[in-house]
Amino acid sequence: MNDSELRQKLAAWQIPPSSQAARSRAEWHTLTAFRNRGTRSGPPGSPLFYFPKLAVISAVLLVAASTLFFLQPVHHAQPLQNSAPLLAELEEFFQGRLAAAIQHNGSLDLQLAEEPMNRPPDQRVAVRIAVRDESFVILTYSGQSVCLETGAGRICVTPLINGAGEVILLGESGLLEHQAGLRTEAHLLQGI
Amino acid sequence: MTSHGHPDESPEDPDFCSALPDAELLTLAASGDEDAFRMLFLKHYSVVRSVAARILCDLGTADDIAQETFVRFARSMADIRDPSGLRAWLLRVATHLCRDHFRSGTRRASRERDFSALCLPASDEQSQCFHDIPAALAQLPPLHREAVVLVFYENLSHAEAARVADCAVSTLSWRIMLAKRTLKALLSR
Repeated sequence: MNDSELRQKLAAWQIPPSSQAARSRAEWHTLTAFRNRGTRSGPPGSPLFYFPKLAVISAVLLVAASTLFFLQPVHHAQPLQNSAPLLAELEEFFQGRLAAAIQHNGSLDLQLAEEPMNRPPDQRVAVRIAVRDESFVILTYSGQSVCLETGAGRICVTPLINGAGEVILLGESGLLEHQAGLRTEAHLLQGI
Repeated sequence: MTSHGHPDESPEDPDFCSALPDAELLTLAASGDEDAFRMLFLKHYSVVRSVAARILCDLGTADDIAQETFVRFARSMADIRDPSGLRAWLLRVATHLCRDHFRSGTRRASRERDFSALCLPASDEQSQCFHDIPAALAQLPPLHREAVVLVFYENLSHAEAARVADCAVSTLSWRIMLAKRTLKALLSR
């Protein structure tokens, strides 16, 4: 086999295109990183040009972070209802394909459906599950099953809205609230 | 950026994306133009993912690597000194992320792999699935496979591939030579 034949043979390997879900997820994470980056108005220049501004910003951030560190309770958790704007933003971006968004350790994992789904506006739920020292916040919909990989193993949960308008959490062996070692909280997300 | 171009043109249109040079799009993106940034994503995402998929022989991890590459791009736009070399910059980040993945030791042994998922369906005659090609590439050392992907699939010169791979041109050429020898032996069977 010569080089030309090798090239020809290798060229036969075509990579399948990415799934729509994977591509959309990548696009969203990328655009979020773009929006959260520091913008600059002028042309690129010497790093020294930015040094005074960076120094001031760093000092302000350091003071703010230190203040927050000492003032906030150690186990401070945001109310679940505060997640409504994030869910609204994700729904708008993914146009009906969002199945669940999972916040854990400062990262956001998105589960997307290949096709848009019809989600009634009154089916949005926010769930917090704490196991050992880990805490997960799930933004999803009633009836949607979500599985979490935790330090204590895999936990699957399906939030359901009952007749009283409360959110109950079904695990693989009954109500999740009754499982030892888990702390749970669940709410309807309204006002989106 | 929204004032640019024909009204029918959109960032989803690959022709429109490729019509503007990377340097121009990068300048716009660096000044905060989200449309320009999104065009760069649309223009280069598939290439970055394909490179990662061929180096890793794993589509799922390639999706993650491609995503992380563009997240780093979003955060590091100001550090790109040669806007016309954006593609090379992205490939460099992606290949280094692939190396990190190899170092993490999370990949499966090649004998455990199902290479059929790495190919287009065999029903498409124009793009038949040759399982033996990814299987043969998977037997190369990762750095050799990386060199093959950059030179044979991305058509980079040895000098360009060496810059992406952060090595001397002679080192890259040596890797290509060894890889070719192995691949010819494996694929001639």
